[in-house]
Amino acid sequence: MEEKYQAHRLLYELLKDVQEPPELRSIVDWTGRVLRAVDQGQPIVYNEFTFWCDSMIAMDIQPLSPEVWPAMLLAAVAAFPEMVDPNALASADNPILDTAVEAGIPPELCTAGRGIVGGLLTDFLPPPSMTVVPSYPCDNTRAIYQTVANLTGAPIYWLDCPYWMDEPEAMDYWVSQYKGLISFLEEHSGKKMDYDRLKEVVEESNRFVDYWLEGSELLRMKPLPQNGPFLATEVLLNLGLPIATEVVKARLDALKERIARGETAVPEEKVRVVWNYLPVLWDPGLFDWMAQEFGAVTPVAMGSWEHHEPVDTSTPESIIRGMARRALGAHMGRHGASSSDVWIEDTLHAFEQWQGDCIIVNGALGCKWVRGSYGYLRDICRQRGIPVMMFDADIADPRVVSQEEVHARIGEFLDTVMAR
Amino acid sequence: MTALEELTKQADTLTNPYIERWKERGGKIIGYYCTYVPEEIIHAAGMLPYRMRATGSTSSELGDAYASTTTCTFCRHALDQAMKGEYSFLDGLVTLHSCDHVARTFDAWRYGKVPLPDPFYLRFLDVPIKTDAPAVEWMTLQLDKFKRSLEDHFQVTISDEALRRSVKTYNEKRRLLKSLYELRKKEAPPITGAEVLGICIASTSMPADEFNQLLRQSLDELKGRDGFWDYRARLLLAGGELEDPAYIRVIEELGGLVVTDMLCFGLRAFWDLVDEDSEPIAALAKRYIERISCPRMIDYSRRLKFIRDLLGEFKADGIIVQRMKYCDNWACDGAMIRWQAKEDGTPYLILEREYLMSAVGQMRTRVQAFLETIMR
Amino acid sequence: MKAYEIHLAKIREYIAEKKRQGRQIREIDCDTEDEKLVYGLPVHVGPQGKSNIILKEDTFVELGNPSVASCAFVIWSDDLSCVEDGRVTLIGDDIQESEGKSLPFGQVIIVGGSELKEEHYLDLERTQYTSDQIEGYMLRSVPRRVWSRVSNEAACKGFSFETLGRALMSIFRGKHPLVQATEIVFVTSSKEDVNQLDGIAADVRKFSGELRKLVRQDDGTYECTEYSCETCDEKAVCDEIREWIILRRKKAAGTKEKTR
Repeated sequence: MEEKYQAHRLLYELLKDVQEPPELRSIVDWTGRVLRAVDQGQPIVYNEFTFWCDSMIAMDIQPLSPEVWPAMLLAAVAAFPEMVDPNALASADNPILDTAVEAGIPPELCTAGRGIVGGLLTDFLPPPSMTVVPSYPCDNTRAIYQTVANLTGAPIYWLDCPYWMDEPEAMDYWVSQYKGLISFLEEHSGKKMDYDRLKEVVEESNRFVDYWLEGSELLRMKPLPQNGPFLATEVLLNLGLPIATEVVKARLDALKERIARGETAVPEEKVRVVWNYLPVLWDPGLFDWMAQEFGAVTPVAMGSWEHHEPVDTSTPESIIRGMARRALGAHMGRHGASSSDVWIEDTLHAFEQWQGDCIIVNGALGCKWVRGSYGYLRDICRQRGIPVMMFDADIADPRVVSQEEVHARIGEFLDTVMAR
Repeated sequence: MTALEELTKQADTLTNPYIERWKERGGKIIGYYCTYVPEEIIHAAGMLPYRMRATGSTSSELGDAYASTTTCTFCRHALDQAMKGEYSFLDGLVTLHSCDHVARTFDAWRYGKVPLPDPFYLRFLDVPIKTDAPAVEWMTLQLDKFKRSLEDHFQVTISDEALRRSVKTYNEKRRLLKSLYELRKKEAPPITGAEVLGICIASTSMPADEFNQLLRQSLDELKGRDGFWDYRARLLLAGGELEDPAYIRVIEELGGLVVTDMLCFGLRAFWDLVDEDSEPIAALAKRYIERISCPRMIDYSRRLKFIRDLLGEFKADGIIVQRMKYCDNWACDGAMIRWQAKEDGTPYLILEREYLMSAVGQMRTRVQAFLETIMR
Repeated sequence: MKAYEIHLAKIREYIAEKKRQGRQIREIDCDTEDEKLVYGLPVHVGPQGKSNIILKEDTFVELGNPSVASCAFVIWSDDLSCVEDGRVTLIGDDIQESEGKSLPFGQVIIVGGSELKEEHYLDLERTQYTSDQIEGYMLRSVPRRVWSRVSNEAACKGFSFETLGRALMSIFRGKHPLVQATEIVFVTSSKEDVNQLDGIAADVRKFSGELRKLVRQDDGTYECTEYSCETCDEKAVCDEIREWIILRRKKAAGTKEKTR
């Protein structure tokens, strides 16, 4: 038996029959598929973490979003929070990240990116047979994935996304990149895209997106029926497979049941927070802490306000075009690779749609595109009287800013918001 | 003053008498942040292309308001200069997504955070990151739009004839600069790396015809100059934005002669020529996409091979990569250069820096130690 | 000056073409005087006071699902004679005729105001996405897309495209005091018809995209400042267009620091 990836193998064995929470099921399922692909010598394609995996699922090539590989561990933590103390994590060594730094990847680079390089160098991460990455969201992505290609020698395909998408030629160019993706996957997997199968997968993904959007929309209700954004990592892991749809539907049904029972996230909702970044992954209890301590609920976060658009599956051309269009709305995605307008407008849209009272941005230190827009968002929020706080908190490395500091910053901010 | 001195001193100031005379004659100046902006199009419009620097900036409080603690200090200083009105000689600014830092600070110009003369031209080119045929085609479309937007804004016509003439002028500049670099291949180069950087900077801040003339004269002057023998090692200096020759002087004072480079203001800006026989916009697109690239482009293997070849061609003993702190592009290219250098047995040094030269003592110590390891 | 003249002309030609093609077309002329726009409507128009979420199972009809066809845009004119104030034109089936369906949906909002200028455009454009203002009508939470649901309850009360049209007109007039005339065109006849409309929308989007590339103000609006463009840089696309005036130079005394 393959000796590598023991942590994942162990957790997979431990959790493979766990049914609750539903989101754990899809991560465990995905982990199992990846491990089987590794053990059977099947091709594995890296899909960068803003790039949905349905095209690979349609060709029966196992996707592995390398940024999400550690998520298996974090998901277990989230499901069983008593397993790990975030404060202990803050002082623990992180050999994966540290190996990347020792190899020459500077520590201020995105943690996700360093995690990939460190993961490859420490055999924590299964290597790819091929890699697919869009030009968004950021410098880190483009730099790290060139490094991945260099380290692994695996062929890499880039989808080049125009900066300005308001011109028809831009969409045509972007769609051509998607078509190139299909050719690339065919060339390096030895498989041909079956467009009937692609249609099935995309229709399954449409059902997924339908449930996902509905779940996200239900959190527009006031008072909030359930705390925390309606995220869905399935888009990166097993979108287009029935399990992903089952899981998201289970979550939606559970939410609807709560609403039917008249349950709310907190007894007294005082503040609705638009969390304008990805959640702090190493502190899965953060949103609940905010809710319990302050009555501050989090109906939406970046990652749950995506462009959940269904794809027209009537022809292969409409499928490809629809997938390409949908990809533009992926979390972060064009936020990083277009002007600040896109991120700011989506933020204001989310603030209005989810009836926010304030905005919190936990800008990861490595995230230069979001941090570079701080000043503009601050000015617009000031103009509109929207309380906004931008603070440093790495989403994946607890050593950068401790839980205590995160709590202190958020607490101070929420106190001022509630005092208004 | 010799022609060489005249050229090298242009790096010391943000503007210069050439710019002043240009403005006095009613000429327009278009700033650009990145070597992926074709100077030829600006030149063919009858305007002076000016590569943006932050020379003279000593602080960045204003720029910091629209930056974060992890924004590149060059961008912060450049934005600061802009907010203070130091670029009042410009009539326009063009950039592209060179990196997230440049892109985000450009938004400050778009959002009215920078006091702008009236009227002012702003353009953000949509340059691809790939180098294949569709990318060249996309670039051709973008350059055509760029050309027409300049025409519309300034009410000028940029003819194909004018473009061809500009291509010739800039190719001449490139050839002359390459001739300069040829001199550095000698065992005793007659010119230092610091001087060369000064010349390269001059090439981006004065009219091309005048620059070409001065460089021709400088090349003549250099024929009569004794070469430098007393160095401890021949070095290739790589990295991103570096506009201060003083940085290179620190290295060279310690005996590390910089004989070639892979710098943004240096070799990468001019090494490849434009095809003068093809339709000019298409030729420009092809050249600018297929040239030796910046790490914003995804053809890292070509860059690595180019560095390996350069080391051999210029008989460099080692490589120093200088990286502006928080520059993600050069962070990973630096790591890959390091891995390649290790594999090849080439001595290497990675230096992190800020825009303003600081911690010079520390830098000297590291460079000194590095030169010791080369043991030439 | 008349901006969007070409787009407006294309819309008129589009409607005329649909008439020639025998599409079912209804033109409803509404009284736009003061409160009469919303008077007698079967649903409440204005802040809803509670969540206006319409679940799938409560949906009478869905409009503009992106996988079917969806298109929405705003055109403005400072020439009031170009706008058929109070007119709601429906090309295709009405709400009441479409129970259980997911209709292709095109929505064109034409606003007129003698004081309207280019710098108002982006704010006008944003208004079409205002949510939670019409009882029984929900805009889905996808940015920059008009994809919506009409609830069973609203349909039972008689919700129709006339209702939606009058509600939108009221919202636009309420949010933008400079708007003096409003006209709306809805298209539900077919995917092809909506996609054809999207061709006009693409030109409009390109225009608003150019505005976005200019100066954004802190309040989220965009302002054309130092441009004096008389021609669009998209000549290749706009060959048939005789004259475009893209932007008017805005002189805001004391708001721009001039340096020289």
